[in-house]
Order: sequence, then C-alpha cells, then structure tokens
Amino acid sequence: MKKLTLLFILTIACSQLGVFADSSYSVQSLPTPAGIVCEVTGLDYSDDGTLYICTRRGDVWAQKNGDWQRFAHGLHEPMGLLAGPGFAVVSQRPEVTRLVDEDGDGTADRYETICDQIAMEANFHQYNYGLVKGKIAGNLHGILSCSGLSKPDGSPASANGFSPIPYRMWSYQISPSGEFRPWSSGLRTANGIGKSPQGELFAADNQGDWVATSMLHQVEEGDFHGHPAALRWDQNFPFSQDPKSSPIDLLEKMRKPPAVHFPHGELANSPGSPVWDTTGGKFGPFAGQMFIGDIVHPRIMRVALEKVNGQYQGACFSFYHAEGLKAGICRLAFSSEGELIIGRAGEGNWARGKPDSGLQKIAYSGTTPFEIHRIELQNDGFLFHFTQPVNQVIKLDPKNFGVQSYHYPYGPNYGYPKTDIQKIVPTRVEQSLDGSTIRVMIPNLEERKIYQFNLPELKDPDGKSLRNPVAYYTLNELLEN
Amino acid sequence: MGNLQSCSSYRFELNKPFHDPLLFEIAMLRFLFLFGMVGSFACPLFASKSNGNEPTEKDLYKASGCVACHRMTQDHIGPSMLAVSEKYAKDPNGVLTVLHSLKDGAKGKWGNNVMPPQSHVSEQNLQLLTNWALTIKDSPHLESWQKEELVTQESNTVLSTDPPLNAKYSLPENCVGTVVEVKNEPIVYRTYLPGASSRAIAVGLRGGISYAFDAKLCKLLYFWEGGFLDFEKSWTGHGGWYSKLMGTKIFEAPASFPLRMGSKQNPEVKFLGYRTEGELPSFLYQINGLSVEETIGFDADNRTIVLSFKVSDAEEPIYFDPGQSSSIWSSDDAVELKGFWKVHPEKRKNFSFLVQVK
Repeated sequence: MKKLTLLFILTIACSQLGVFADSSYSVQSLPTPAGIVCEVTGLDYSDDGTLYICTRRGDVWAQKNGDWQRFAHGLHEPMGLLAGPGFAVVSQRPEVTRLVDEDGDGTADRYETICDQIAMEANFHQYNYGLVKGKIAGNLHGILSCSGLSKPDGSPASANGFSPIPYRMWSYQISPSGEFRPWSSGLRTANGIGKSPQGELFAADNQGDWVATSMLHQVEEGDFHGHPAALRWDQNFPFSQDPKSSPIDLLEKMRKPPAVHFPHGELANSPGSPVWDTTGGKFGPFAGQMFIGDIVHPRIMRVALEKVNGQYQGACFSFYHAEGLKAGICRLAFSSEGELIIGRAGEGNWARGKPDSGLQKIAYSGTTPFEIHRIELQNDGFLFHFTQPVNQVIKLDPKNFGVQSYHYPYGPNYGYPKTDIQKIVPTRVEQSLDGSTIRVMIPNLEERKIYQFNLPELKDPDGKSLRNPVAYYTLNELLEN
Repeated sequence: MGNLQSCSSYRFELNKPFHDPLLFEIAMLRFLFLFGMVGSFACPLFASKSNGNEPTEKDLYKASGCVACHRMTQDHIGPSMLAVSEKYAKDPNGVLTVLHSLKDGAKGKWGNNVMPPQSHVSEQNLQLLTNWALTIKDSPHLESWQKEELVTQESNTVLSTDPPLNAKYSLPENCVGTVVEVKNEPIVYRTYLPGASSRAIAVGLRGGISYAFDAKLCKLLYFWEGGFLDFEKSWTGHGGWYSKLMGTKIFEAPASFPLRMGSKQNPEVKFLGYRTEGELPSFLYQINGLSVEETIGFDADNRTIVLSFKVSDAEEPIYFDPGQSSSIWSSDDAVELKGFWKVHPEKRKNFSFLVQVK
C-alpha cells in the first residue's frame, strides 16, 4: 500500500510541474496559499519584488521568496489591488482602502479609508473594479459595475444592467485627497482597468444588454461608452426621461466607438483586465502590445493597437488557448523575469459549472513564435507585419486569406451576432522583398466594420504554421487622404 | 425531514469538494489508502448521505448553526457532539435534558460558556438533532470525523484535508465551508449584514460573541452570540448578498448616535478606517472634525459590553446618549444627568461606557 501511495504521489508531483508547452510559450500552475478559496481579483508586484494578490472572499496575501503570508483579511469583495512597499491599496465594494503594515510584521494593521463616496447596496452585481494609478501622482482609477435587478432573496431577476444609485456604470477617479470624481460613463461591467505605457486607460466591457460583444475601450474623461442607463447621472445629457428610451442614433452619435471588438463565443465572453508587455523582450516579440484574459474561455488574447485620426483601433488575436491554461482569468501582471502571471477567479456563478481559481504563469522559451505581429491600416487595405519572414516560395493566393467583414449592431439587446457578414476576396496580396510583411488590398474598405482574417496557409522558412492564424481588425476610421 | 430548505443551499459546497483537481487526487488517494479496507469511499469533509440525495441530520446540524460551537469530535466553544453523546446516550433522561438545553439555553454544564436558546430551530428539528446527537459515539463515521478535525486543527484550515503545501499559517479564524468562526483573536470582516447600511463591518470576538458596526453611521448596531457569520450568500452562487448571523442577537444599540460634542445634535460623522493590532480592533472616525477612536469589547464574566472612546483635542463638553431602551449603562468617566451622561472634563480624551447584556 505504501509503494502505491508513493507512486501516486510521484505522479501527482510531476503533473503539478504541469508545464504544457508549444515551442515558444509554456504555462504552469503556481502554488497558492493552501486551504483557501483563492479567487484572484487583484495582482501586483511591489517595488521590492513581493507579489500581492487579493481574493474575492476578502483576503490580501503577499508572497516573498516563495512563502505566502496573509497581509490583510475581511475586505468586502476586493476587485483590484495596487502594491507598495509595506502597503497595498484595494478597491472593494464600499470603498477604496489603503492597507498599511505599520509595525513591519508583514500584516496590515491599519485599514485606512481612502474614499468611501462610492454608492453601493446589497446587490449581486455591484462590483468595484480596479485599480490603476492615474497620470498624475496620487490619482487612482477604477470602474463601478452596473447593478443587477435582484429578487427579494438576492438572486438575479434580470441579466440587464441598471444604474439605480449614483455613478454605477461609470469609471471614476479618486484624487489624492480622497475625492471621488466620475470619469467616463456607459460601461456595463468592465472587469478591470489597465494603464498603457503611454499613460492611457483602457477597460474591456463584457457582452450584455447594449454591449453587442465584449469590447475594449480607451477610457478618457467625459467619454460615453454605450450603455445609456449610466446617463441619468450625466448632467449634460439633454433628455430628462429614461435615457434608455432615447433615440438610438442620438446615443450612437454620443458614444465613443470601442477600440477593438472581441467576437463573442469564439474569442472571449467575459474579458478581465489588460496589461502591457513592458518586459523589453523577455516575453517575446510583442513589446508594447496588450494582453487580456477571459473568465469563461481558458484564453489570453493579444491586442495590437494603432491610432488612426487620433483614435485607437486595431487587431486582436488569440494568444494562448487551453493547453494547460485554465479559465477564470481575471487579472494579469508581468513579473520582473518577464513572465505573465495570471490570476484566476472562477467560483460560484463565475465558474459556469467548473470551479476554477488560483494562479498560473506563462513563460517565454526564447524561441521567436511565427505570428502576425500587427496589422496596419492602409488606404487600400491592410499591411500585415509578421514576427518572422513568411516563406517566399509559397505563392500567395488572395482566396486563401479567409477575409470577411461584419459589424456588431449597437442597441438594447443582450448581445448581437456578427451582422451583415460578407466574404471578401482581396484584389491583390503582395509580399515584401524580405518576406516580413504582406499587403492585402481590399476593395471598398468600409468604416465601422470588423475585418476578420484566417491565414492558415502561411508558413515561415522552417515550414512552421502561424501560431495563431486568425486576426480580427476593428476598423472605426479610414485613413484620411 | 422537517424544515430543511436552508440545507439545500449547502449542496453547492457539498457537491463540489475540491477546487483544484490536484488536491482532489491527493485527497482521494489518502482516503483509498486509509479506508480501502473498510470500503468507505465517502469524503468525510461532507455529510455522509444515507441514500445519496436526502439532506441528513449532519446537514441540519450545519444549517442550524450548531457547527459554530460544537465540533463532531473535538471540544471547541462547546462540548463536541461526541462528548455530548458519551454523557447522555445511556442516561434515561438524556434526550429530555439535551432537548431542554437546546430550547431554553444552558450554562455551567460544560464550563463557563453559555449556549443561548436555539429559538431559530423548529421543535421538530430540535428533536431530530437531539436524537442524532446521542448516536454520535456509535457512528461508523467517527474515525473519519476525528481524522478530519485533527488535521483541521493542525493546519488551521478546513477546506482541504491535506496538510498545507507551503508553510503553515497561523490564522485567527476557522472556516468550515462558508461558516467562519473565531478562535482566540478577534477578526474584522466587512460584508452586508442584516439591519445595517451597506457599509457594515462585523467583528468576531472570542467566546462566540460578535457585533456589527456601521461604517456609514460610525456606530455600534448590535451584538449577537453563538458564533460569527455564514458567508454563503456572499461567496457562493451569484454572491453579493447578506451574510447570515450565526446565533442570536443579545443587544441592540440605541438608534441615535451615542456622542454629542458640546450641544450639537446629530453630529456629522466621517469614517476613516480601523486598526487591528491592539487586543481589540478599533474604529477611527471624525465627529464634526474631531478625531475619535472607538474600541468595542465584551466582558464575558459580567456579560457587559464596553465602549471605549478616545477623542483627541476635545475642548467642548462631551455627552453620551444611552438611548431609550431599558438597558443599564454605567461609567466611571461620566456623570448621569437626565437621560444623558456628561463625560468628566479630565476624562474627555479617554472614556468608557458599559452596558449589561442579558
């Protein structure tokens, strides 16, 4: 019996190393504090290299040299965390709180209210997502989720989003003195907020009513991102009746189009918060690009943005899917070694039947993957940039580029399908002399469309296929001539 | 099987034992190793089911809150279920004695801790629980319950029967599914609480005594006895709902704000946070701009609530309003006037009020 036990233990130990790999990226599960339900809803490194996580059940844990210690406890569903040396700042349901370790014993002994001017009530949907530092030192930014409609026993009565109390469905700023300032409106339930290396804020709203598919927004002060229920708190909004019954073309004119759409069901159902690759090459050839995970799919996506006429738009791709990666991906952070640390929260109704929470990481092997690096809009089509040159012996056939266009309608329905799907054969495809780019010329390029490409036939000089052959480019603005 | 609606809510935790397939594998292997001979493959972390689907008395014992004070085999705030069955199973008056204790409360039979009347449990369920309690010492699951609880005590956690993979943590609370209980050190937990604003803070003290503080009103709301909280509606399913008090309320604070600075009625309060490093947690807030630190404690010997206030820079008189109830308040730091107390000037920086609880 003992030998059998030992054999089992060894097998399990090996599987715990759990490195599932393609030649460029591998994923591994990381140990979390044992014996707790570790739904990671906040993830950040302090300057001294300590990893801080917060959990949905209210803990903050700190990991130093592999050992976990509980830093704080008893928070009300924190959904965002920023770490400093000896302190952490969390966004929890009732407030944004600073947790301070005054006596240096590794646990917080002071729970300071930074800002409690956050309207909240008992409701299954009123999350306080966060948390990033603003452009000016001392400012913090987060997002207040919509309220759900609940039955007397607290269970959901409707899947739609409501804003019954001030500034639900708005992003917010908190000043250094703790003043709450509404920032942008119309976000149904954007789970998390990220700040680019250029200091710009982005958040991904989740598909639902008025949100046709999950979509990435640049979040700037004064923006309206689409969900009209939020407008009742906008003093500048011209209509005094229920904003949801406003004419849709008025709302459409007001809203800032999303930078990128994540097609529902095939790419993401419920994205978390974005991070940017600032590893300077330690994570591969995507320096400066954005990564974002999904709660429902075991997938991390990559986003390559460009600015056209002053507005962000661009392409998204699947980056890592399954192969050991688990679902419930909520928060991401890069370690100083250039690994992508993944915080997962998937219990209760978030799990869709499969309980899943904890930590994983994706590491880069050093072998450059063969991928579409980014897609650059042209006057007459798109210029594809690749991480490796494309095999020039292959004769490129426009029919093999799997091009289609569609759009996602804007309206009150709980999600919309891809609409007006058109299959497109490019007029011409041209490879550059060095093979690193391909021009794809599209007849009659249109604004406010998503162009989807499926490029499975391309190979690099070693005969490797594209690691992720499908790309989705959100085209909001055409180049001005 | 009586009123067991609340039991169904436990099935979520019961039927999804482990959140990591790896832990599940290790656990199953241990069970096979230990219980292969006996042929029992039931996971002892969860209620053994007589026919797989019906809620059992063990579900009822959890749903009624007994688990907060009575472990199956290890003494805790109250005697273990095993100890109760050993004492009363052979006693001809045993059933009646236990039933009586459950209905009317008990004190002194097993030490100093008090069991309040279990008035939230129906007559029928009390009978079921009593009958079941006396069978514990003869149960075939006894050994597995003992194993589970000994590992639990050692590792300070109860969600897994395995020893921690990392260094052991010393946590001040126990967590059985969604039921949290206090061991020896107080714990502070923000959650939605019944009868409170949405900014509610629960504090669990030792001995099964807990209280609710309202961070919007900056005042004590009530005390309860018998355990801490069940976070089921906060943590599971769609979440975001009220946590449940384990036990019964023993004190309701007056609705009015207790302190008056000078003659100002209804002072403006601003919550600043709380500190946890002292013997008791203390709340920090401002009253009309004056900083206050309030500590709330419970003297178990005298069954007395102690409210201690530290007010910085208090230049005006401070009055304490005990409210309209029949509670008996006392203080060494203030003089009682008509319906109000006036804090002695030299005590303004640090004064306490005590109130007797039944």
